[in-house]
Amino acid sequence: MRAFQFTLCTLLCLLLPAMAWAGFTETLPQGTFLFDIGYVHSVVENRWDDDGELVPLIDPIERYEPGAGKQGILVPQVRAELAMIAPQVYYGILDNLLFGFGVPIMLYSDVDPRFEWERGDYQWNLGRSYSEDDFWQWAGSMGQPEPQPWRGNEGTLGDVLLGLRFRYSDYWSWFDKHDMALAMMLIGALPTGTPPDPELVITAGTTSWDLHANGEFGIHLSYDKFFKKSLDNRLTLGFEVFYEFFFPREYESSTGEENPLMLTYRPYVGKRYTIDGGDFSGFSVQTDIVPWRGRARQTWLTRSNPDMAANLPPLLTLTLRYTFTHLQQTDWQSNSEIWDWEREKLWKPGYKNILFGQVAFSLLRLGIPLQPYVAYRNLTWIPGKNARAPNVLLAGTKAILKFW
Amino acid sequence: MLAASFTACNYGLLAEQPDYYEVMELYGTPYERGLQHGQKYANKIRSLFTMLLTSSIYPYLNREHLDVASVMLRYQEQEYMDGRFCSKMMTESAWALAEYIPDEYLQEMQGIADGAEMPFEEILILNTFFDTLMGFRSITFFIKLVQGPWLLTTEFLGGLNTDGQDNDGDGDIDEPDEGLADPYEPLWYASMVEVPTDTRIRFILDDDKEGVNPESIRIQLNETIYTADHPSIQTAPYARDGKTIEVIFTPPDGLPAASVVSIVLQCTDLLEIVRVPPHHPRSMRDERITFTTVGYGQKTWEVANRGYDDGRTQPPSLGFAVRGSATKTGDPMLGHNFAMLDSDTTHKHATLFMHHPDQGKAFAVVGYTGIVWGFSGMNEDGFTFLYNSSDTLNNSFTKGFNEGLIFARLLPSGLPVGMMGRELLAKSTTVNDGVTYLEETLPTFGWNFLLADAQGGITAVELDANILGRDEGWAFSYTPDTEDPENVDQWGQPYGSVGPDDLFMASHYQKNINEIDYEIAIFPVSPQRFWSSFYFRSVRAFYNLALQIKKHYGELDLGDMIAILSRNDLEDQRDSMNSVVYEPAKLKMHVAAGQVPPSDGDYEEFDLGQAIAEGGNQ
Repeated sequence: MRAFQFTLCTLLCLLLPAMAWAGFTETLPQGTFLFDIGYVHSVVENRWDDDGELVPLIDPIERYEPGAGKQGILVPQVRAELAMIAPQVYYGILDNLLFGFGVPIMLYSDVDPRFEWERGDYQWNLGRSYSEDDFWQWAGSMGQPEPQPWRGNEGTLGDVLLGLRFRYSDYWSWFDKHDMALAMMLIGALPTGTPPDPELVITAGTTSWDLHANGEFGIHLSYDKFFKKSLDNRLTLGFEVFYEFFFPREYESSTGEENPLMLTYRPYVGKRYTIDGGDFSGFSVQTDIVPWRGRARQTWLTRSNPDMAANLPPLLTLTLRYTFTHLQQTDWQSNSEIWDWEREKLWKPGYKNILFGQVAFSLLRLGIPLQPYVAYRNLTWIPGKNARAPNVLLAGTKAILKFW
Repeated sequence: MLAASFTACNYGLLAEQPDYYEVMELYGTPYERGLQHGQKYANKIRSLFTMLLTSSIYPYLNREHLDVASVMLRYQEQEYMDGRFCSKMMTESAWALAEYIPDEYLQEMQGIADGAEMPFEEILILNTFFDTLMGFRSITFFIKLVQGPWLLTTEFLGGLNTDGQDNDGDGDIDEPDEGLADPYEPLWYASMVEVPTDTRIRFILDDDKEGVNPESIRIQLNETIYTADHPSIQTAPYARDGKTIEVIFTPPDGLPAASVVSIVLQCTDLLEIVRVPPHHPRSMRDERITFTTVGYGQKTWEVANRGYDDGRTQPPSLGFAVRGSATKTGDPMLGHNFAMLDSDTTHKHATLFMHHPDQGKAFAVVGYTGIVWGFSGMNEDGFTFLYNSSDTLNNSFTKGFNEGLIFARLLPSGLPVGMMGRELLAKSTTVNDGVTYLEETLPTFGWNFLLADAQGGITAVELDANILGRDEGWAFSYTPDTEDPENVDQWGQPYGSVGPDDLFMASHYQKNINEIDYEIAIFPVSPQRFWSSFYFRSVRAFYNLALQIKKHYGELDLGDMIAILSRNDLEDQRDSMNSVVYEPAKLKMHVAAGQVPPSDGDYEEFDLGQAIAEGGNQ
């Protein structure tokens, strides 16, 4: 039986752009820390298939009885839910050089297989075709339990993310003069995540590959256009292109000890196999709109530098972003080309169309050094291809501290 | 536009399905050929072993352990417990069969094992499991069926005793009980003819244990299904405190006049078996009865028990050979659909192995990785064979049980069928050579061979294991030559031909129809037509094949052969393993494999003659 072990998608990469106050090129003032604690709640029930159709996460699984045709078709209507907190710290090394890191900590992963059953051929020795109950009785008699809803990853780390953003256009006054900025961002993932348990049918890992929201090393080139004078700095337009790599990772194959019918791979796959995830590349366009700047009042935060009050972030910023992510083919390498292909065909080249919206409040102007925000990211509204389609709600707050 | 440009690039790797069907040429001694085979396909051999045996057939057959152990006490021993039954039984059977396998094939298997770095024992099992599985399966199926309901009698009610017709085909007209078939006998032709259109049909059903469940009655009349709650079906207790029941079926709208009518009857008993999940009652095999209504005008034996599509079964393996007046060019051709055990696995390992032996004839077989044989093949002389299984209790497993009873072990004897195919290719130039070989070589089970040669010789040979030592032996052959009484049935009809230059067969016996009939303990050991789950669907496919051959007679060419093999009513859509057309005179093979059903892909040509010319000296 083809395994339908799978991993969850979520939106860790959402966190990195959030390090900016607005736009793709923003950094922190030198010596300033920004702490961000976010709660991420992701739900995925569908994926975009090779034809661009929104289909259940797992393909139907046809089951055969040796020499007696089709038992039926298992149709998993999997629903996966992930919750995590994502503490992040950013530091302004220079006014135009920002360093940040994030530590995703899973609160839980829930995966409910929600099997449905389509009856197959008539089985004369049963006097009927297999019902779903028949099928699991049959499977159980061969040592294969029915996969149950799974909860795990409680308190488990994902891959720690590091980021460095360098706004190099600061060295040319022409850009500032024309309300423009250019930046480059490098992100990298430390392999602190946990791969899925190979012996479980329903499970989820927490590595970057498993979450499939960002690569393990990425380069982003960004451009922002401000309208400081003409629109009173209430609008920022941004554009970014990126390339994110996945590096080959070794995984352990399943022996079938717990799921003999579904996961007996090791004799022909080998003890270990490699997944080289398909790299991401694409672009984002973004607009930040300031509908409410708020009054520049003097508070304890600005008493040492009264001019600073006017430069604090606006009370309310709306961010809208569209991201197109092209996905390259993912490559499995084991001792069995057949097994590899059965996985690779679900991870052919494809793309994601991601819509993102955020409402960010900045209370700095009120003398409170917090910036609460709520965001939503959607992958189901615009069709994609060969990609899972999680929808994510994110809420958190940032706090800025400067030790001087 | 940006998105489109990213997508249009699709740079980098693009995974492609590996070839599920491959061709490999092997050279040298048996061991050398095996070594080349094993080295090239090591991972495919492992995956076939694991996916087909370890993950599919072993657990499937392990479920039979308790039933078998309740009769054959040896299997209650600890070494067969905890899921080890099938693996151990397969291993024991493989070593028992190894005693019959010529040394060169064992050497070839050793080469495969060494090349693939697998234990020899696993390769031996891979090469013998088919015989073991078929023998074991026949016994367990039979046990299940004899414990379930049986159809005892059928009777057509409505004046058949006075209609002036020989309705039951026994040569007598209007004798008492003219419409009664007691005991019921499964037939490949019509049970009754010229019955009135208002006839009712009465069935007596018996069950040894809890009794027949009246609510389980299901009758398919031609293409219409009636269940027990329909007023056309009336049931009543008949005997044995209601365990035996009477069913009277009154076709709601009468029967069409001057027509062939088919009824499929099915029922279960009242028992709920919980020992072997899923819980279920014991079922009677679907019994199909064909008859004609008044005005049709043919004898019982002239009317095929073809039936209608029941929506429940697939056609089994079948093959046919044509030549001379049947074909466009006069050249012989063979077609073969083999279906049995794909289980979404086997087709991914399909391979045509072309052997260039250091000694003897070059040949090719259509087989699978890790296996030295195929379900069909052709040698450099154009001699071609194909075979299908033919369920029988006249097999070596039954023999073992017959001799040891409750102390028996499931140990087969005889040469595995795949090796018989290899030996045929090694030793035969003409079909006569092949027939002689089959007559001299004891098989393990029931097989239907179809042989052809480059000169246009075609012969079918039906085999069983002759466990009772019949004088006539175990091989029953026939050709299309109706002048020879060996080739026609009791009514003078050819066993498997519609003309002088064709021969076809499926997965049942046409000639060897009473291959066994005796009792072991209290069990009646019956011919295949009484119990085989393949029987009625095989008969249906057989006659459907006959229709197609007849339709294209005289014009058959490669395209027609492929078109026939690709028909849904002749090709299993679930468990097909390969589909092949052979042209013995041209030394060409056309193989569809690597997908299910095979005909969904191309029939790829393999030129055996060219392969020999180009590669024979390597």
